[in-house]
Amino acid sequence: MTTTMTPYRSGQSGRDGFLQLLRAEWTKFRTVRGWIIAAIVVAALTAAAPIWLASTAKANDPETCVRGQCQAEGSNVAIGPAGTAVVDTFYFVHQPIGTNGSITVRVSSFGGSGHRPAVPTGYAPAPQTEPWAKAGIIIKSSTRPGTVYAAAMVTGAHGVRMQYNFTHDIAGTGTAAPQWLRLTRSGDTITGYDSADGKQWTKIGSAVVSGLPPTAQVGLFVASPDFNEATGNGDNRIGGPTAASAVFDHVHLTGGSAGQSWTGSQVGTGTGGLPTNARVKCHGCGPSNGPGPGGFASTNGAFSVHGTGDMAPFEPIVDPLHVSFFGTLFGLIVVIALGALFITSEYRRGLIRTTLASSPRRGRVLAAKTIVIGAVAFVAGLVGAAIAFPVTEQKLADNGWRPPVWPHYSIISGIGLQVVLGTAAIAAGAAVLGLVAGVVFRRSTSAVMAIIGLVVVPVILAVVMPIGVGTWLLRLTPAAALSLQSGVQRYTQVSNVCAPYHACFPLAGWNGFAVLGAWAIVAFAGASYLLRRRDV
Amino acid sequence: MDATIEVAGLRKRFGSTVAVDDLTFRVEPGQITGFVGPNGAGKSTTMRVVLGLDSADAGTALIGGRTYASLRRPLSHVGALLDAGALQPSRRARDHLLWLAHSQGLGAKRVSEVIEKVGLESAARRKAGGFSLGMRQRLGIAGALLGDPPVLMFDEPFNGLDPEGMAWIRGLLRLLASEGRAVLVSSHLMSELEDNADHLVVIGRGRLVADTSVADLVAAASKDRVMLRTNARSEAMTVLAQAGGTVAVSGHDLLAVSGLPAEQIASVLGNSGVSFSGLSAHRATLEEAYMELTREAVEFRGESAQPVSGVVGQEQA
Repeated sequence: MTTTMTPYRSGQSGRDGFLQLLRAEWTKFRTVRGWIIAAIVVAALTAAAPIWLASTAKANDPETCVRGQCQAEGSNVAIGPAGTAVVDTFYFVHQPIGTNGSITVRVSSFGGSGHRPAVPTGYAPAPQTEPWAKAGIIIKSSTRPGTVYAAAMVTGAHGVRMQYNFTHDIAGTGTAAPQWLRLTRSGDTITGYDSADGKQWTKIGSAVVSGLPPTAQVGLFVASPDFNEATGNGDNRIGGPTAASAVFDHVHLTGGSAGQSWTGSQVGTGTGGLPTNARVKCHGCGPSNGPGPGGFASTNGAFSVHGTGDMAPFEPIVDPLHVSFFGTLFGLIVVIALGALFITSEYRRGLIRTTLASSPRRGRVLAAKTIVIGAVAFVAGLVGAAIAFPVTEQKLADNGWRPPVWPHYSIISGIGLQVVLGTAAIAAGAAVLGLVAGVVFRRSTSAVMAIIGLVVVPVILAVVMPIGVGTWLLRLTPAAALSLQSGVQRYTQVSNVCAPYHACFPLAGWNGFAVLGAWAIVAFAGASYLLRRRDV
Repeated sequence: MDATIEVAGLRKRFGSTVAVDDLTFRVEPGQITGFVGPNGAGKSTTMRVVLGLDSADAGTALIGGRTYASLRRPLSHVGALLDAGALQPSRRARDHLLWLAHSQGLGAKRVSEVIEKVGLESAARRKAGGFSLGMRQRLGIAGALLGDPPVLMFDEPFNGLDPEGMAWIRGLLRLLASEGRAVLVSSHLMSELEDNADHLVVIGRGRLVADTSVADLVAAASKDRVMLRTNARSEAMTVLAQAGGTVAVSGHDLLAVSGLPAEQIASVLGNSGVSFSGLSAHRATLEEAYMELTREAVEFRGESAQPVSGVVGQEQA
């Protein structure tokens, strides 16, 4: 047989690279009309479901709650310097201070006292001292709730802190009473110090407290926030007001007006009955068994102060925005199926062989598919959430979820961007999980079931399971990423029962998304390994 | 890069079943190599290994001396049609070729060229799911031709084709080979390759049965016999025996000559002045030759009859 002819050379030259692969996968996606329609359905569901949920969810009506065993949330809140809802209730032993001055004290003892909520049998009693009970010194604009302040304090379980203007919290070095504390004022700047012995001082931090008048109030304070404990599944909890007492000595004041004496004031209302940080369900609350207002007594330069309440940002229990955005789970189911089908349809038809023969570097094929389906899902989620967010916010406001307890967020606010971008990112992550499960199982049904079981089911389980189990589900499963849809900013210095039932997620914001990200990365690596090893 | 496929010592096992067993052969450029064996003989498995889709347990499969996995833009080196049904039914035929082209850095212009080449212009904007098997084969071939590769592999391209379609593919294969490409065509029916393949690689149960040119195979099966019709029987027998042939009487004017090709018989008789009225090679058909081969292969391995129904490997049509 003659083989003397010139070997044939291909007349076609093109570029070889990842961009070509990306383009091929995008062409694959856009040329199946059903997939384009599915992406539009994702956007439509993501837009429609939160709006629908928001229009059906009515806020608690304060009238009916007062008569029953519940109370509308936030009925005792004050408006803080940032215009947001704050709790500002404590007992204040004070006198005026000028633009320059300081206060130094020793907190010689501190602990929970007096009132305890009635705890039903079978549940742990309330702690003797609330972890965020506070006793310390404060420089505050006035005794009016919600005004600016800076304070240094001993807490029940979080050591020495310097806090100012409700949302700011800095840890000091000291741990518990007895403890020396000092605040110095220089104009608007207040600096906090702590010391174990009154000789060696450590600076905790410095705060610029804008709007502090030339004559402000300085003094000693005690507060003890509400006790809260989950008692079972879902929404069940017990809670109520608590109180604490502290003894201060070595009180030394500079910059005050001569001849002034100490005055005791109850700052804020809501004590002596209803809980300050009101709860939806409150056992043992009511006018008859509240802790009563605080008070003080002084003997030989030592002050014994008794108080209840808190100075902290107000955190509502119910997060109506988040509850509404749970509706995006419907879109996630479609997006998971779309991600899986993007590869299982190739397995089903044998098209995967054409794909892998045209691109033998299989890891790159999977990467290209991941980017394409992730981008498609991100855009679908983004469009849906961007439509949903403003309408949902409006519906919620119409239904009684109003400022200051529930702020009205613009789509370009921090919360607005987080919810909208977060929803898009969650959709992208879910699509990628669907895709990689498609590689692992090579069948649509198994892949879709597995990822729905991983992403959607835990959210439902977390609501009905005991709060501890539910919380762990939302820490470990990719469902943790739904934390991005939170409409309530949560602070470490507020102790609140974080119940999945009320859309509270144990990992806040992007930390929760990191769980989904980790799942996606690990699953991608595993799928890539299988794809490279297996025959097709 | 040479336009060749070289398979050496290839072994592939699926669980306890050996699909390909120590298979060695070479596909040369400029000719059509038929890859023949019964269903389940390991043809498709071999092709998948060549394309890097299945990994070999032992041995190598090289395209122009390189492994498939090392090829960049592989469709410009090898074009393959493994399964005409490997399509997303809801995707238009043209779009199927378009993504494939994009994966090789090629554009829509090349797609139009191959669509024209396989004669699918009028159907290119229809969904591939509605295509007949013949049209799917054409679409698959268009995909194989996208990169204008020097090596082509077609797995059972004649399956389900009408006579017109078969004639078209035969013509196309001939054209591709004449351009200097190496063309490997698998079939479980030798008759499909009759008058078409230049070279044959025959396998059965994953093993190589024959690696031979079509001419040699037919000659071997014909056992060199030439039928000679002559009235001068004894003279003819004498001169042919002197020339080294073995001559047997087949009839009163008919001799069966073996050991000498027909051309030599004619010249020996002509030089000796022996007249004859007919000279014909006993030519076995390719099908007969193939049946003989596979029968021998099976007998050699001590198996029972029915060589063509043996099930080996995972033949996926």
